Amino acid sequence: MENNTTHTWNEYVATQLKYVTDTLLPLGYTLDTTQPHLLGERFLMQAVTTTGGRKLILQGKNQDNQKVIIKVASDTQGKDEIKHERLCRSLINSLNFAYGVFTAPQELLFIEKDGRVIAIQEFIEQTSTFLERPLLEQFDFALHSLKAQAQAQITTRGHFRSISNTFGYYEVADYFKNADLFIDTISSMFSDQTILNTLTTARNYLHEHKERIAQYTGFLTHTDFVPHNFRIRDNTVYLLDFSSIRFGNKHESWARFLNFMTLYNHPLEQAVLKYADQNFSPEERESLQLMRVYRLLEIIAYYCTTTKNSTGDLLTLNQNRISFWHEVLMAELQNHRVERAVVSAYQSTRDELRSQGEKERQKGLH
Amino acid sequence: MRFTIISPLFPPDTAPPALYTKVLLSKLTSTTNSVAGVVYGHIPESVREATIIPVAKRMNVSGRLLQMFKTIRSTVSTTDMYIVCNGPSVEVPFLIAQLITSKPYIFIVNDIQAERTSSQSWWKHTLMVRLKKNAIRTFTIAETITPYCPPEIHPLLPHPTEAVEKFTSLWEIHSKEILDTAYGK
Repeated sequence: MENNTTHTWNEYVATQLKYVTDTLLPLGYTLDTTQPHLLGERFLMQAVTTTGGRKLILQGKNQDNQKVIIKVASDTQGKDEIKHERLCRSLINSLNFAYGVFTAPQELLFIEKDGRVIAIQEFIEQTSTFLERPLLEQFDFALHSLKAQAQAQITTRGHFRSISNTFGYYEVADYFKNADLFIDTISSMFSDQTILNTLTTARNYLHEHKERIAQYTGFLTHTDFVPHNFRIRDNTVYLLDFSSIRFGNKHESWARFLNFMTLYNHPLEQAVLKYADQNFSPEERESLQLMRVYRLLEIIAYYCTTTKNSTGDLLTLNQNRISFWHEVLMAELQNHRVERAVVSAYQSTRDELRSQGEKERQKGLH
Repeated sequence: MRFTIISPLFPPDTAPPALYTKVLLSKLTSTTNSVAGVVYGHIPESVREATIIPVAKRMNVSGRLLQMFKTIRSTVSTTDMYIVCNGPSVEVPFLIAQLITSKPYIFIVNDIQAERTSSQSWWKHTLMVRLKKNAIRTFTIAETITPYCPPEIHPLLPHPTEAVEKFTSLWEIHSKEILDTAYGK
């Protein structure tokens, strides 16, 4: 059954598609008939900490029949997001202390007209998805990228001045403010004492280790460093999403990556953690753990916000997601990994409840 | 003997000279000597049984140098021997502090990049020459500092036994040389 959010999204998509088709055709670009990035749960996606724009990601071809990626938005937040991402992409490699950290796909076209922003980039062909690669390759690509981010660090006032107006900069207070927002979002929806206790434990854990979070701030970090945001060609990692770059705790990107791998590739999660155990100082390892907890609060809060726009199987699925990530959070608060049986059970439920469109969208995504 | 190591870089900074300084601090602390560190940074990583005094870096250049100078001066009464790692942000305040109270020091060039940059500026080069001239000894870490940094352990590859052995033996020789120099052997 179509609810209001789905209906509004479908109308928005139809309007944009018609406009983009008509605008780009004279410029030699055509849209593919199937658009996987518009399917399934895409309509729900919106970050908890930002208003988030309605940005469409489309696939198409240029006049030489080469695949391209087209980003389009007509609402203010969506347009700002595309423009901000473009600015970050161009600025990141102009900073002497962050040069060469990320490689970006080539921009082919950027137009701003009729109240819309359209950005076209080359499509990065890859021989296989990240998760299809051998474990050793996955580990090496991930480690290389995570370490490269950490090499860009704000140490002087000059560094701070050069980034503060473009990239976000997170201090401990920002992490606490967000954590409180996540906790409020979750606790406003649940009266279950177990969940409330977990939230209190998580909040206390973060606050008791304020100095540890502060110790590792000032580093370049990609807050959504997961396989669907990068592609690999000729041993080079191309970053697709530059809007999630900010300066903050060094382990934000590590934590997001590890939390993702809890669900998608446990051996890789184990390998990265083993690396951290064997190579990090005790303080650094603790910072990573703190960021895992912070990012888990975020993901639970995110799924809480999606429930109000979900119905039927999707609502059930999102409720399951909340329970699952709560289990992961409880384990991580003890510095344990969640039982694999819990992960397997959740994966089965998820696969049963996912819509056909979402299954299509997920194909080859990671 | 009471050592104070002064360094422009220290972990969480990830640059190799920062890793070198942390190892140096821990190696000297493991002897019977008392060791302190004066390092640029917000909240430096700790080293067991060593006192580490951070000097804030996020201020203008003159403020930063003044802060480093004051911190060095505050350590004079508790220091028998300084170990100074190269870099203009340390060299300038240390030389000024030396004018007031001259304490023996060992100079370590562990940041080749910083040395190269300094050699392109007349005044920075002059400072460097003066520091080297007045030091009881200057150690220059060879072109590659990597063997002096803790070897990375890869979770999916065999343990880097050879690199660990090389690291251990290099530091055994290096820290002995530094201690011998300090004790005039």
